[in-house]
Amino acid sequence: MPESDWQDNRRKFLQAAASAGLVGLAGCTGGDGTDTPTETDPDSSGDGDDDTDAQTSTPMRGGSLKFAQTSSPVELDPVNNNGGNYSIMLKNLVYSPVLGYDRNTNLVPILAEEIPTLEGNEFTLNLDADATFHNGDQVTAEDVKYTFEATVEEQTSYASNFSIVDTIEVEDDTTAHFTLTEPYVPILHAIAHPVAPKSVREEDPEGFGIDTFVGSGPFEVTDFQENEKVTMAGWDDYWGNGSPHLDEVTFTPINEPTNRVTQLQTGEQDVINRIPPQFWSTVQNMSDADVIEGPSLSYQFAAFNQNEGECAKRDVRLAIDHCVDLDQAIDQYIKPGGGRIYSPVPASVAEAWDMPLDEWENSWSDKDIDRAKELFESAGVPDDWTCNIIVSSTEKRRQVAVSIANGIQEAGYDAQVQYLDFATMLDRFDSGDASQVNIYLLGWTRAPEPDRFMYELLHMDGAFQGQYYDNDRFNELLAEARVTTDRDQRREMYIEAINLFVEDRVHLPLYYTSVSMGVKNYVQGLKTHPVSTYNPYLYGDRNNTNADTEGSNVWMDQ
Amino acid sequence: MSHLRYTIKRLLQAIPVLIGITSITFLLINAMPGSPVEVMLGPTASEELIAAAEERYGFNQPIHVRYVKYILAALGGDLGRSIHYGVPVTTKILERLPVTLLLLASSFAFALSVAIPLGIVSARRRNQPVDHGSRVVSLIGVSTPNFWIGLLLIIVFGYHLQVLPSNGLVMPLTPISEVEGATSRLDVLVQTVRSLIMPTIALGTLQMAAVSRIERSSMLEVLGRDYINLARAFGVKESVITRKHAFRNAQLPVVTIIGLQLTSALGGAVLTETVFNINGMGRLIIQAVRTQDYALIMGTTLFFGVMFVIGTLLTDLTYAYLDPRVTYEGED
Repeated sequence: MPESDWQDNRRKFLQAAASAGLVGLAGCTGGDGTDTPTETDPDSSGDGDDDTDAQTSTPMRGGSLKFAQTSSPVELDPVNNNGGNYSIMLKNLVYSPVLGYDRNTNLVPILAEEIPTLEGNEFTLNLDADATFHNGDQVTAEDVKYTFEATVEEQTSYASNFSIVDTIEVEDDTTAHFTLTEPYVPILHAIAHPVAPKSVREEDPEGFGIDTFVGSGPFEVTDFQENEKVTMAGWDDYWGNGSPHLDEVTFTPINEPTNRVTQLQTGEQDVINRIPPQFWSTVQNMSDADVIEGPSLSYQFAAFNQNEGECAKRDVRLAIDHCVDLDQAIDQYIKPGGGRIYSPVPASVAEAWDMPLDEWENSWSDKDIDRAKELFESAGVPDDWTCNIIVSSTEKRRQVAVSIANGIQEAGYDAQVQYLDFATMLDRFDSGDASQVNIYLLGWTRAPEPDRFMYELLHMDGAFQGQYYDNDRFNELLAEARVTTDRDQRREMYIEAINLFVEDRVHLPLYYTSVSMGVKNYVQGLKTHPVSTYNPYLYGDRNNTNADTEGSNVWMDQ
Repeated sequence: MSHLRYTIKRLLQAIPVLIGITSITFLLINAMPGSPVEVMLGPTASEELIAAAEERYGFNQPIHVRYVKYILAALGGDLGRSIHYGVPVTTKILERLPVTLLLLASSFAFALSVAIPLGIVSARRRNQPVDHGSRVVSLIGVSTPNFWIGLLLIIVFGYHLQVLPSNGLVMPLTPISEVEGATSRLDVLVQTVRSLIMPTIALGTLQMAAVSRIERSSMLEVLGRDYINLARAFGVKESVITRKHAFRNAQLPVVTIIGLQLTSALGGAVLTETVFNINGMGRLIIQAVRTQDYALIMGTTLFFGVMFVIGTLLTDLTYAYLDPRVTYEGED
């Protein structure tokens, strides 16, 4: 080996070894890779547009994209949901839903001709007559009925979305009439659901989505190996507008973030999902790759147990709001990876509904320990009170929980943070027992519809409520909003409800997490979508109404 | 007692051990908060839906009834059906087992091929620089977690030098068409070796270090015995003494530690497979716990228990091979 080569290699090796220590340290201390996604400063409006605006070449057909997921899909069956979001991400490429979401979180018709109009507890769904499955069969109303009813009959996790549907009457190939057991406006978000071909799935329900894949989306599955890879081909005969530029997409599950970043660096992957904060700058410093990010529909919060104990008093909740500088905590622990949130409805949904976000932003207290002490005292909190805070294993939530505990201690009271595994957390958060929980930290991600964030989380009959905020007017508003068809009236109801929420400090809204991806520069047109399961947003122009004006069609500039 | 009788007796003794493992595991997973049905159906599922699903999967039956049913089915080779994957647990285990076995075999081959010579050289050059170096390496190896070593290897050889793949394990019998860049079986084997290097080192370093330390101390003890000194007095070469007279006698403690290392290697495989994205038993058990997949947790735990029993049995049988004086008469 020539001397110069040896010296170059030696230098390269030493540099690698030195940085290994530093980066390895970061890799081990910074999270588990299954934690919350990452992001940037929300003020930078980093929604990926910069990347796409920068493209200068003309889109080309062809190319194979390699995408690293954080975990493997288990099945690709619209009826089942065993693989969680990692499966849904891929289902959204293979199957067309009845309705979908554009990047502004508005509902848009996909298989439907138009968004159905609710009349009481009934609506009629008209399907696009041109929509076909990969096998050439037309997507019919019978397929829609079969898919939705199968979720209930087979008791899958989607069953709760459709259990409110009383009957689905098929009038003809493209028309189905839905009757609900009671009026329920958010049903339109439930039917934003992919459709399976009845004739194919009926033959082998257990094998569908594992061995057999027939959808109506812009990509067709060509190879499915759970925990190894999933390969899809762009469907040339896609029934919607145009067809995908990409010939092929391969999804590989790589759980370990160090490994994902390494694969991006070496070019073994073209796009990697979820950039942990400690690797943000590593990816940004790559000469041939960058980070794209955008907010997701996640709501991370600290909820007060108002069933009993000190936190049942409004002044105590207000005092705790005064104890902690959440802006600083979120700057320190969440960014890049998310940002501050001020209402139980994510910002993108609130903006789509024209809600007064600025007003709510200014309604939360600045840190003021003296004021907190006054409020604790006026509420008659005993000096030996200990605030029990429970939090699941998510690292970011733990750090914010510790910040809250530190603030309470600063105000002169004891506070202890208990770290629980998620199953124990789910078992305890809604106990209402003040000896076990005064404050709990959890996260919530749902479809972009205020009801999905508010009723289940905050109404006294909500399936995921644990704070027991028993305000008659508040509960009435949430119940009324879900049966009111007029959007403006619903908007007013939600604004009033959120005003009550803020005024009474039902929760401390904490932060949102972001969708983030590391992307090679030759991958063009890739944007993030706020609905996290729509990512990677490889082909977004798939509705025949062109309502998704910000759609995407990713292509490879190489 | 003959070796055969002893083997049969040990295998019979393993039955209560395995029953103990299944009982404890069954009790523990049922003591976990929540249920697999709640995990499967999500937090917003209604009570009616949860009750219907529990009935469907048999979770509404008393725990002792479920346990007896499980044991009876397991005796017939049926480890149940994974609620998460929707396939029989045995199918899943058989699918993942070869990967983990290859990784374990590779890491033990690496560990023993490095540790035994290192231990011997260290013992023969006691308190010399090579001995100090060997002890430092052993100490680092014993005290460094394998996932940490794995991350460092990925960063150095995967990220910076880009000479080794950091993701997955190519099995030797993988169809040629499924291995990127492979045009022949030889190419596949080369890929197998390349993809094995880093996980092997990550998983095998602890075994290497532990065996090396035991090898050194055992060799030191044997090399200090009277019969070795006698051999030296007769002018037998040191290399012959080491090879012919000391080495075999020094291996009993080493065999013991190798048997024990099998269990720690199984545990290490969980982390190594996660770091290197290898689709083996380790990741399967993690997935099982995450999703509270009772049948899969039971199946994988039972399998790990069987591996442990086999490991200890092989260790005992190896004793007799290495030292003919070892008998099992006392076992009667």
